[in-house]
Amino acid sequence: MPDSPSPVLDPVSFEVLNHRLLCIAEEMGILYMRCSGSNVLITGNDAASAIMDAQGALVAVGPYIVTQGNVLPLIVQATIDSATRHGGFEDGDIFICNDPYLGAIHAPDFATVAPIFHNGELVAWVGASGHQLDTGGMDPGGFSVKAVDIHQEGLRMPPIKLVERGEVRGDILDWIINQVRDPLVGLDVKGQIACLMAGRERIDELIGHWGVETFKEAMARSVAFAADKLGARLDDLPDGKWREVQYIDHDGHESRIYQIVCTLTKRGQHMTFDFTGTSANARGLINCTYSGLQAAVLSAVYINLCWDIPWNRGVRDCLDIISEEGTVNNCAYPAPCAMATISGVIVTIDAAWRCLSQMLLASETYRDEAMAVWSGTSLAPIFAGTSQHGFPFAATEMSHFGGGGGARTYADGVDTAGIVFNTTPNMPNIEDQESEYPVLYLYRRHLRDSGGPGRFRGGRSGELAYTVYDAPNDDLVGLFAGTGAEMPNGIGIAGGMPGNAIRIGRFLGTDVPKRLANGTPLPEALEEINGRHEIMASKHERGPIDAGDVWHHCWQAGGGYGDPLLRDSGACARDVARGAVSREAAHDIYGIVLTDEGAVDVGSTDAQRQKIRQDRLAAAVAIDPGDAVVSFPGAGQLQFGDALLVDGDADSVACAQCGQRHCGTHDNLLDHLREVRSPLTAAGPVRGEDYDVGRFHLRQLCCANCGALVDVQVALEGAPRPFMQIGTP
Amino acid sequence: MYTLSVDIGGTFTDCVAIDEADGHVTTRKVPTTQDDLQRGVFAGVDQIASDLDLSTPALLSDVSRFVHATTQSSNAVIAGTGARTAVLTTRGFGDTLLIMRATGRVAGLSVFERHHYRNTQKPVPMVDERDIFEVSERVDYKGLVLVPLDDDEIRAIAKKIGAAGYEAVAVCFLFSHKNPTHEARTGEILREVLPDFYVSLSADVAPVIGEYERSATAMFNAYVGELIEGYLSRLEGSLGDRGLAQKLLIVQANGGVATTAQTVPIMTVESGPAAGVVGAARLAKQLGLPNVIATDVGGTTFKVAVIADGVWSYSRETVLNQYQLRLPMIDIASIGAGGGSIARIDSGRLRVGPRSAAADPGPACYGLGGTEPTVTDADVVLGYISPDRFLGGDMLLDPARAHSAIREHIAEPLFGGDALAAAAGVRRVVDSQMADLIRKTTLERGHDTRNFVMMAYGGAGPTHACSYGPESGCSEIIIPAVATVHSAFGAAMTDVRFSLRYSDPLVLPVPAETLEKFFADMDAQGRELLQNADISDANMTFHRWVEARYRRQVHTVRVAAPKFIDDAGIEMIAEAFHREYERLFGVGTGLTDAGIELINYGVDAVGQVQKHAPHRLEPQRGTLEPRLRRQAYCAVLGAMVDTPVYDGVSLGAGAAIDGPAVIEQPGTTIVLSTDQAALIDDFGHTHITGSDSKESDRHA
Repeated sequence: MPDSPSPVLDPVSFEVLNHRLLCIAEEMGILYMRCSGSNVLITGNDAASAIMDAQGALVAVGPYIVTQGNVLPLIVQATIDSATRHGGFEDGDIFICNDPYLGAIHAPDFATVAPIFHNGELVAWVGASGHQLDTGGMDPGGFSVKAVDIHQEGLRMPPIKLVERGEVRGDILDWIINQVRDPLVGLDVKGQIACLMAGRERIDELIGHWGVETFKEAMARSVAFAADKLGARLDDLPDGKWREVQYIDHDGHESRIYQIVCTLTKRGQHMTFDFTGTSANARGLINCTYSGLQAAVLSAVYINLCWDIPWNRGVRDCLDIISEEGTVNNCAYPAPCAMATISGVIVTIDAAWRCLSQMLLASETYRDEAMAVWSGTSLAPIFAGTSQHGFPFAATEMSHFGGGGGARTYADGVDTAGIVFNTTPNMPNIEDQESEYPVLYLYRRHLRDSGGPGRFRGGRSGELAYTVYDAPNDDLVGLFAGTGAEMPNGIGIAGGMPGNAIRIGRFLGTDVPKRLANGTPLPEALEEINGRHEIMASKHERGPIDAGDVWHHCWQAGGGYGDPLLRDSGACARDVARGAVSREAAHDIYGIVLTDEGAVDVGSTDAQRQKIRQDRLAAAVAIDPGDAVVSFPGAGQLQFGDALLVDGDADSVACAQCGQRHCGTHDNLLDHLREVRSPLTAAGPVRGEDYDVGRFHLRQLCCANCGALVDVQVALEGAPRPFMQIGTP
Repeated sequence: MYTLSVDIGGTFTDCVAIDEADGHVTTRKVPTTQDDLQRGVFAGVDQIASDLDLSTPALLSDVSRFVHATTQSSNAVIAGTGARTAVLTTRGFGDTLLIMRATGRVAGLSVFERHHYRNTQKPVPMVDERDIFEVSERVDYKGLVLVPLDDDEIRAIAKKIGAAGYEAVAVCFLFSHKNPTHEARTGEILREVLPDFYVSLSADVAPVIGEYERSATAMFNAYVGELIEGYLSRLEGSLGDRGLAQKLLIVQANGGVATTAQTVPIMTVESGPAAGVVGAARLAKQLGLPNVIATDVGGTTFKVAVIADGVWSYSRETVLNQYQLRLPMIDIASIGAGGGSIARIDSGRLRVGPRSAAADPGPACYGLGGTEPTVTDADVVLGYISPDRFLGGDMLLDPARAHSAIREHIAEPLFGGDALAAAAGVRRVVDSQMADLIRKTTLERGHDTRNFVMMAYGGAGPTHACSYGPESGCSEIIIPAVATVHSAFGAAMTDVRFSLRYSDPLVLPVPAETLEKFFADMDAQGRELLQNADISDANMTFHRWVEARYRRQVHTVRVAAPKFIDDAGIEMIAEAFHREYERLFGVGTGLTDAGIELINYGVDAVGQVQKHAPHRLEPQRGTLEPRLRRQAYCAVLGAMVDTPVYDGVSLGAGAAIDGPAVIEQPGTTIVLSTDQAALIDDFGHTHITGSDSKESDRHA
């Protein structure tokens, strides 16, 4: 095609160009990771590469970590603002920036962006971002548990010109390398430079072949396609308003609870995510800035609504975010935020996620797309010291990348499915860990009863324990930064229960060294390990791991779907046979009675399930809804999970199990249901009991007539209640 | 004497006979008989014999080499017809095969599939917790026994397994690649207590670090073991009954052959595509081309392999049913794009694949019940494929069905009813996806497509290479003379090859004797295997290699190691590693101060088989006459133009044809676009050049 304006791009050329843009974004990522060779980048895919238009709108993003690509438009904006004040930018320039207050999610994410000019006109930007192993903060590795402001979290670069008209500024590179402890950072930055230069070259070729107007048109079309398709999907989904509340426990300094309140309003083709009511920003590292907040909302929307829609600016165009600066997921300078990704950001995803899954559940067309919340948090278990090979090291134990998946409306969640922001999860092999680091694992397995109970069970998480082994200097230390020990974050839907919470602990002075000396079998479960047991805070400073100590932790599972009493008894018996569910949980939570051989005792099961319903009704009390309203004004005909039947014509909201009419569609359903207040362990073991100080309970909303579960929530005393209003009043 | 080769694919069983005296090649394609694969094999052999005017016994008794590639193992995995398998693991780690390193949820899926979280899941477990038995034993990373094996415990488990109705057992203990004694002893006890069971030990099938992949490899091997061994011995028996005097040779995933007795069952997986790459490398060598990109377009998948400096590379990992296996397997990238790929409209966009109509119901034009438009339907609408010549005329196509599928599903919603524009669009979208995969695959392996010649085979490769070839940056395209049975042809050319491996992460400097011992042990094993395959010493070669990385960086790079390792040899390995690292990843990208860590070691023991001179084509005489002329689509003009259609088998060496043109070979159709030219070489291969034009012009 000649280099002439092409006002209308034919659909075939668009398809070819669009595929090419995605490939260029992916190839940029490949080049970056090839150069860096960093384990975090490659094993964790903790990087991004993207093509943006002249204004910095995201057009094509490489298939890496979901959250990172979203920050690049903010970095472009910050670069344009900064360059406007400081002499502009030119063809061949590359800027680097890692300031969370200017677009990065946290300081370890270094990002670079480069403008692309054609005949003197700015036509596009390319960008890359990646998690660095060190930022030069108070603690190596970037997670400074005791930091109280961002200055203690290391290097904080505003947009700096790293490459000037094609020439790398060695002084800037040296300066960056000087600030950090790890020489890999230098290679990583060089990798980003190589990646951006290749991206620019590829786009130049593309413009050469197709003409600049066609190229611009293809970018615009790609964004418009996403916005149109998501808009049309939103049109198909019910209007309404949903509120969810999620929590972060411990801020690195004290065991305080922070709440994230997300209220989603959806009207026609537009969504508003309002975070009013969220706690003020924390003293410690759990906060995230606006960039983290936006990345979180987008990630939840991408995964829940955009499975076949490009993850670009068009999605952002369909939503607004309302949030007050100075809150835990939109923190104000100089609040620290090193742990943003695995606290503020992921917990914001959880809150937005359940709003979206409740919306999907209320749609005839999209009900099957609804999922309970996945493993609600992520962790950073770090161990460091001198390895058996004589090298100093600091490593993050990445097994928690096998978080449990949320249950679906027609199937269990996937066991050890991954962490939501990672499209390609990756747990290490034990053999690789032990060959590299001076540790010996006693076990790593699925955690029994971890998946949120429900008609369909949440995917299981895992647990592990390790001891020091072959450590030449006996200088191993451990540090931990996790979220969700006092309460689980993997919440269920439609009466499904939450998955497990995290738990971290250690046994001091065990007999493991003696067993190793004698060749006696090693303990294979927590209960078999002797020694002095200590449960540890979800964020703790580095402390020694001495010979004979055994450290253990587990991570979070996915939430369940539907009342566990509706679970197929055969599926539950199989879960018990496979060790996924204990006999106790099968009996107490699922109401399944098994014979000694493991078969379902049908008569006793019916009786036990009836008894659980009766127990619920006996314990249930009237609900004090506060400001929460659950109603279905103008919702038409609707079945909400196995819990509710809504009939707009008959003005009826009824129990889908017993058929009892609760109320009219405009009434507040909460006035007509009852609730059972129980300890979190009503959903199974490892639900925060080791950290319990009386703040959380499990709130089970049920039918006043038959005791069927309508919704199960993790409730903090005094926090707002979740609600939903489906339809337009 | 003949070399005979049979390659069983999903739809067709391909047969090739090469007359060793004059290099003359006879080919046949017969339907694969899924219920009993042997039937298809004999149908093909019978037809070849009749083409050669021989009886089957006469042909078989005149065969010096019978090579076979089979999809039996993949079929068993997909259909779930393998053995009921139990697994023994180290206590505390019984969930390894269920956790699947979490990657199991998405392994082998495309980016787009991975974006649909809700729709992703792990495969139905082939073994679950009830089939996994944990054993009290422990070995550390150095291979030191920490907790000794208890024979009585194994005996008790073996009895339990025997009583529970299992048929096969896989054993995978931690660090068994470093110290296989516990697995070996367990194997002895199992074979003693369960003599009828197929027993697979992980250190035997995948003696490399990584317990998940090693377990998965052992489990699959146990799962298909009995089936493959039974099938191969039955086939060898039947062939012997019919006159075959030679040992049957089986193609392996590593691009080599082994005798039936030497075949590790799981190594037969994906052996057909591997043979295709071997064939491409062999042709490249004949033609004096060092760098070739081998592309294979079938019904559902598009496959790409890079041959640089005459050698293919090996992948670190194989994905089978979303499990990750460690097999020494030829590195082949693929996407869901092929003749059967379905085109559809998605909110105003034209999308093609990855969903495929496969062979059943197949494209709309097959008339077997498919109504959705496919790439093959587009090729028919555009006039490239003769409805009466498809698959050599064995299947009559219905162009009306192709037209209506394209018109109804694509043209009317998006092209104002213009079926031609719609079909051209479908073709261009799928071709550009293939070109993008070629570019990405080549880049990832550290190469530039501009330095490569492309080879295109498979049923649809020759039809599409004229567009995806130039678009990916290759200036010359070669269509092999027997493009549609290329894998079977490659199989016939395949050397005997055993890939021996060992893992032991060691940071340099390392005593030379340590390394030399690793290699010498593998050399000795390889020599024995080659001897058992009747290879004479003169035809044996041993290729040593090391996989290494810079400490703290994750990329491992494979380099050749010298025949004898002394201190200078180690120096050579280090230098070769550094050079290769910089070639792949860029100058200055290695963290050299951190030191080099050697991880895996291997020896490829190769038994060279005699390669016969290829048959030379008679020179083209007289003027070229097309078989017919018809309207076919020209993308430059965006319209149907008068296009000559040539009968490929009538073309002689030196025949030159300018595009636009269509050349029909038995079973496939070569398309030349307007600005391309084709030249038939002395061996009957078609060389396509020209059209270095802008990709935006490249429609056909």
